[in-house]
Amino acid sequence: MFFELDEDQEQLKDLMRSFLQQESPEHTLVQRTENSLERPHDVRVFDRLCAELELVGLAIPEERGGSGAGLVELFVVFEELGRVLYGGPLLSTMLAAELIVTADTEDDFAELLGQLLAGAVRGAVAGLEWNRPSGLTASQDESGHWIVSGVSDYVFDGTDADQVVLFADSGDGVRCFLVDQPEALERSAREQLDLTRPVGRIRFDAAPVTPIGSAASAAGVRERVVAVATLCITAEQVGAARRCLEISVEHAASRTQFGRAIGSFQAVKHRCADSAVLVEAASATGLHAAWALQQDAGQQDPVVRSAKSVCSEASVKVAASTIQVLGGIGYTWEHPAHLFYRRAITSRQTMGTTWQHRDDIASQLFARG
Amino acid sequence: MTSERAASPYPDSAEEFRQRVQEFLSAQLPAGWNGLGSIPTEEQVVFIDAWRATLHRNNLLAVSWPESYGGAGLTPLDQLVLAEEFTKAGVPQGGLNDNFSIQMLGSTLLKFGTEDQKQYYLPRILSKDDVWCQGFSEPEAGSDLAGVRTRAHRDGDEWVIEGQKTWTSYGHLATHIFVLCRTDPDAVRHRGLSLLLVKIDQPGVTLRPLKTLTGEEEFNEVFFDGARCAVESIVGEVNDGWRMAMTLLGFERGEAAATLPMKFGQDLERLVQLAIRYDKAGDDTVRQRLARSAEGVEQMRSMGMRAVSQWVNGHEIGAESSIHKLFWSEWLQETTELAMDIMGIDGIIPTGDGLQGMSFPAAEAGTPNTSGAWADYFLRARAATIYAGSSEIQRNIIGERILGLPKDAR
Ligand SMILES: Cc1cc2nc3c(=O)[nH]c(=O)nc-3n(C[C@H](O)[C@H](O)[C@H](O)COP(=O)(O)OP(=O)(O)OC[C@H]3O[C@@H](n4cnc5c(N)ncnc54)[C@H](O)[C@@H]3O)c2cc1C
Repeated sequence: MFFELDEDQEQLKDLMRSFLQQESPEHTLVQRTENSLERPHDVRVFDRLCAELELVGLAIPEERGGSGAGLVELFVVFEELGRVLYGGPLLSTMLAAELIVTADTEDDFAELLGQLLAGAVRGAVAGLEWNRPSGLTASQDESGHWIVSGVSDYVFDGTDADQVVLFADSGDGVRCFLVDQPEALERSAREQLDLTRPVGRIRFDAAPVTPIGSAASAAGVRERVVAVATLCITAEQVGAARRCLEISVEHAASRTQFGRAIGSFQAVKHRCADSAVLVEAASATGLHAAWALQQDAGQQDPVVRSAKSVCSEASVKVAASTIQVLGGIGYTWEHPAHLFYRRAITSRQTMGTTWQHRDDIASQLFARG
Repeated sequence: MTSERAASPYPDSAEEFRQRVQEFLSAQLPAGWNGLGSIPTEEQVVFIDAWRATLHRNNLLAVSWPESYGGAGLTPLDQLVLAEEFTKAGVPQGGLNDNFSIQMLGSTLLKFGTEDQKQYYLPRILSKDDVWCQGFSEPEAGSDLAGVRTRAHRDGDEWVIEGQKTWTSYGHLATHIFVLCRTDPDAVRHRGLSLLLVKIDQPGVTLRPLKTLTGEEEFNEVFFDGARCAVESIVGEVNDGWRMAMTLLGFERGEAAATLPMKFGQDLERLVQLAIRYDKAGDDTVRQRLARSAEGVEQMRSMGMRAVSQWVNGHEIGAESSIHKLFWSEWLQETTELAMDIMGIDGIIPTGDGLQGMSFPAAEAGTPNTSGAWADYFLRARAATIYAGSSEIQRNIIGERILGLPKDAR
């Protein structure tokens, strides 16, 4: 019987919570993001997440070098990462590994996979957006070698990943590739709304690439990687929303005005209660999506779409509500509330906006009806 | 989004029972059965009576009650599976008052009743010798239930009751009423209350129908003027009625978490059809709002599964039920408002068959997709954020009991 975490999953959650509290404490968040153009993550934390906790390979099958856990475990981990607005290259490295595991059935890229799993190589995935064309085109030159051109605008960790994998349109459908000389790519960091996770632009100018996997399987690979990426973002949203709710409640219980704790005023209490409903519903839906995706990949589209849209809404609303409950303090640079809000809005626009997902959900409803 | 999942989160034993329920349903329901909503309103009452008798004959009214009290001795999860399958098939789990008789009072008696009470009342509930309604709310005490003023005092070996209850749903169909009343006038608020089991057909009890906003006579005012019941007709101890009432209200929300999302999924499908009929499939605003409604069903389903698994793993569902209640009642209002918007001006002249007073939380499966049905449903939805604890009260409960925020000034 699913739907409460089992003992191992609870342990994983606790482990993540205490690790991150120690290594990536909330009170240092603001200071760590002072310069938004600099990577706001601690390389040492990333190394430990990979080497000690082996998180890159968490949901990757054992025979491919991973831990063979499921997407529910992945959800648990990313929920905790979301709580502290972790912004290091774990997500992108993990997605690069996921792409290789799914596409490369012949094990041609075993060495690269091993390096990604160990965290020795930081990966990024370009051309990965739900509901958007990849923006990249692939073709073969005279000698038969594949080259890719185009611009990928929103690549997680795109600026300084060691290796870049990508989805590109090859003329007869999407295909997966590995960039041959990542150091030669034109990459740029940009001023961005979210100060906690760098999203870079990569320009491909007839960049030589090597295909990963077959043409026949690539569309399925893309669907899978998109779904897993979306699920991870969704989990982060739940974690961040839950943390925002806690921040609001702690404040509402301790701040007094008019001689009473402000949390005793219904206008404040009910705001917190509404946030609690959003968090509960989002967390149940997100976890359910993780479970459903694991049970039956065929179901992924509708459940993951719903989860993304629901968790996006929850994280944005709860973060906004936190700023309101905190009053003036909530509007200061020193308080991390704005970082949660910035991340929430950014994640909402990423991997399919709420508007797009709802439009697709509607199409599915009408197609069925 | 889909109503069927490829994998079941339930244990095999429950799935086996599901099989049995499905076989029962296909054997008992007429060929081509489309749900209670699909038969004419006049025939619905007749159907429900006959259906309830069938359930009683087959011992399916209260499958999780012990056999010694007339139940089938199965598990609460089996009960839930039955509720799910019945919901899917669009048939009720009993008569109109059984929510009060079986789910609320029956479950409370099983937990707190004396052996004599269980032996006497439980089989009579199932056989429909006794039909119950709920006498909690008063004109001056609704949300503030601890403020009830209806009094009961001892006279020899009887309680004598004076006062007034109101908004008593289906009171006119009941033979009995469970009454929350003040038995210690000196004790503060909830400390002096008791829960009494009272016959309606006796001198000193007067029922007066009270029309609801939809124009139906669905609830009642109940006046007590020297009505009597035996001293043994008390649930729990004297002056411990508050605890009994809270237990009883807890059972009110029991299965809803799992079955409502199914009903609402059916409503949503009807709504999609409605949008197609009104040529709104390409309307951006309608599409966004419909998708939101669909997400709501998905959220309720996920929360429902979480509640079920907590329950199966032996944890009681406590204040979380307030989250469900708040969520579904608001979903219902939003979704029925969307139906009105889709119908546009047609919505103001409701035509075609409607729901007409059969169930509160959701339209029955098979209900015709008419402006009459939706307009009725739309009006009915207004009650959902008032009864069974208003939305404001739910928010207080969530704030105080789940989040631990300080109580407001009371
Ligand atoms: C269709 C229907 C069927 C019903 N059936 C039954 C039945 O069978 N048996 C029975 O006993 N009762 C029944 N009721 C009564 C129902 O339980 C009460 O209506 C409900 O508890 C609200 O009480 P009230 O109507 O007195 O409103 P009030 O308590 O007066 O509330 C009025 C408004 O004030 C708000 N409010 C009240 N207190 C607070 C507070 N502390 N903080 C913030 N806001 C507050 C409420 O949320 C509401 O918006 C039924 C009601 C309806 C609508």
